[in-house]
Amino acid sequence: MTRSNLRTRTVCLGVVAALAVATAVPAWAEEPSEYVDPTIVKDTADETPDGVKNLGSEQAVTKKQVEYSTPPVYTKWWFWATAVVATAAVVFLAITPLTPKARGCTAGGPGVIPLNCFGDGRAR
Amino acid sequence: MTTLSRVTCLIGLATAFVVSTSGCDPYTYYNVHVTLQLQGNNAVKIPNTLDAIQTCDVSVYSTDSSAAIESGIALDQRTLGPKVSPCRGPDTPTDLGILDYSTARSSGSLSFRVNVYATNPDDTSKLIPIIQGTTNPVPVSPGHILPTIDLPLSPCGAVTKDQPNQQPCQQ
Repeated sequence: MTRSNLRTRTVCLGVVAALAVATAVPAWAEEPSEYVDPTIVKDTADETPDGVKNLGSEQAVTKKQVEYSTPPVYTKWWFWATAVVATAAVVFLAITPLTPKARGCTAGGPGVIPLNCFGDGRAR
Repeated sequence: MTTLSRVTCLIGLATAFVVSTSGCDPYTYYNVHVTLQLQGNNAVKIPNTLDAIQTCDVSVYSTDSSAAIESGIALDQRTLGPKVSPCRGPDTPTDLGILDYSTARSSGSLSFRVNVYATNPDDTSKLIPIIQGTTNPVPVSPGHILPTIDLPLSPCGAVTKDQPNQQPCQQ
């Protein structure tokens, strides 16, 4: 595996890892509270327990709008910032060679006849 | 995730990107000083040998492979313009100049061989090497300009009475 391949893979893994970290939702943020069976009605209860529906009322047949405890990720500014950065990185890597050019030709100077300057990273 | 951690992620991503794209210089730079050997038992005879010179080239070899990395690259003097050979018959200087070569290899050693050619007396349409020199293998060292390597060239060919110390030309 050449250095440029290793570098390319490292960059790709870095981008994937950064996106994964940035979009991850911590698992402990939404742990449910202790479960209570709504069908069990205690003797001391003085109000209608949860889960007991009055089928005759209009409210019982109305669909309840789903509400999430956390908003969708695409409403976050950092999601779009990460997307823009990742897109820019991919475009930059696609149009720019990772391997830099070699230094300029150093042989030369007073009394020195410069011959060919060639090799990897230099124009043919 | 807190805003701070998200910003940290973005900064880390940007830093990794910049570091990976800039990187260190992966090249090793060789400077090879090519001269004609003028002293010793196997010196180039001037002007007789120079008169026959037609052209010259350089090949680069690696210890990692038997085939040449660069084969038969014609020498030219950059100061005289492109494609101007220093090997110009009687006008050939004894100090041909310095080659500048870069390699992206990360391991191994490179050696350089310069051949100077003359017209084959048996077949004037072909050239044969008459002067040759090869450097010892020099290990690559990425990111460094290596010290200049001296490459004196000596006559090569069949051993004759006039040239008992002559070395055979290597292919």
